[in-house]
Formats: sequence, structure tokens, C-alpha cells
Amino acid sequence: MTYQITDMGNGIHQIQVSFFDEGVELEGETTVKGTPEDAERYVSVFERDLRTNYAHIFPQPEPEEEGELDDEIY
Amino acid sequence: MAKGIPVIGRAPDKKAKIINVDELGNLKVSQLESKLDGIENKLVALEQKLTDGSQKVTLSGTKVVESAPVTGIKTVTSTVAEVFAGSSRKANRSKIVIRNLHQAVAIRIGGSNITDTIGQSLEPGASVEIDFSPSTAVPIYAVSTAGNVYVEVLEV
Repeated sequence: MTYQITDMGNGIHQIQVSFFDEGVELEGETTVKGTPEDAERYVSVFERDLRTNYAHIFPQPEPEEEGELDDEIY
Repeated sequence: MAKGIPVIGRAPDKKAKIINVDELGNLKVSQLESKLDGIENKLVALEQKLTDGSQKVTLSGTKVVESAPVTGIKTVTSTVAEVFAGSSRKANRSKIVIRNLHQAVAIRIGGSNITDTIGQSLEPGASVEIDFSPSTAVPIYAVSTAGNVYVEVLEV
């Protein structure tokens, strides 16, 4: 995921994120009020929400292979 | 004063009436002209009212959904951030519905000047609907009063 923060003035910061680098055609854009640090902190929240709401377009993690239990000692 | 010769005529009520003519023989129609002037003035005033933007229009009917609604879950934090359902504010949206999914923590919504103590409070479990003019983009911001709060958002 790549992102860019732009100062829009009056304490408004625009956050633009893109998942193209992960092969996912999804871009997001929002604005926050506060300091550049506030905007920086909010990026991870915005990213998580997008990954949740658009989970269907993200590649699903492959299920872990079940190991053979025969050799395991309990 | 009319200098013409009075002639006999009939009023609309069929009663005989003396009508003056001027020196050129034209009928004196001063009363008619006065009435026409009054009508003209009213028409001018009406035109002005219809074109100066002061008239109110009431539309009736049912609002219809013209594009697919967008739904999503958003995390409202202590940072004042815009709230919408999808990856960005829905273009030409006419309505947003926000529901506070938290069981104990309220959030505040409003413009960008809200804080955790200023703004419209949205209590736990409560929802709010806001209507928009589709042609005007108006961001709605939200902030939590304590910790992270999930909200359910619908944009139409």
C-alpha cells in the first residue's frame, strides 16, 4: 500500500491511498482535521477499514498445510 | 378636458352612455387606459417575482435511488476524520446513514470543526440520517469520545 498526505489548509489533510502495488485495483481518499501527525496516524486506520470493506478484492491468504501428526511426540 | 363631441354609446351593461371623442374624432378611452396601466404594472411585478429567485417551489413525490448504495464499516477514532461508506465519499450522494455500533461509547459528528465534546452526539446503538443535495459535495466528519468506535455507514 502506498499513500500520500496533502495539506489542504485550515488543518485539513487529505489522505490518498493506493493498493496498486499489491496488484489490487483499489484507491481510497479521505480527509482528516488536525496536524500532519494526526493524518499520519490515521493512515493505518483508513487502510484497515479499506482492507476490511473490500476484502473480496484482496487475495486471500492460502490455508496452511496441515502437518503429518504421526511423527509428533506428545 | 375633452374638447371633442360627446357621442352616445353603450356600456357593457347595455345601458346608454355618453362617450367623449377628441378633436381628431378618437374615442376617449382614459378609463380603459388606466385599467391597462394597472394590468401592465401587475404583470411587471409578477415577472419580477418569477425571475428574481424569491419564489419557493415545493416538490412532491418519492425520492428514488439512482445508483447503487454503498455500505461499509468505518472506524471512528480520536482523530476528526471524514466518514463515508466506501473508499471515498460517494459522488452525488443524496443521503448518508451512520449507526454507532458501540455498546457504550458515543461519537460526535458534524463538520470539520467538531471535537470529542463539540458536535452532534451519536449515542451507542443510535443512528442518524443526513440528506444532501447531490450536486453539492459536503463532507461529514466523526470523532470518538473514547477509543475506537465502529460505525455502520450507508450512502445513497
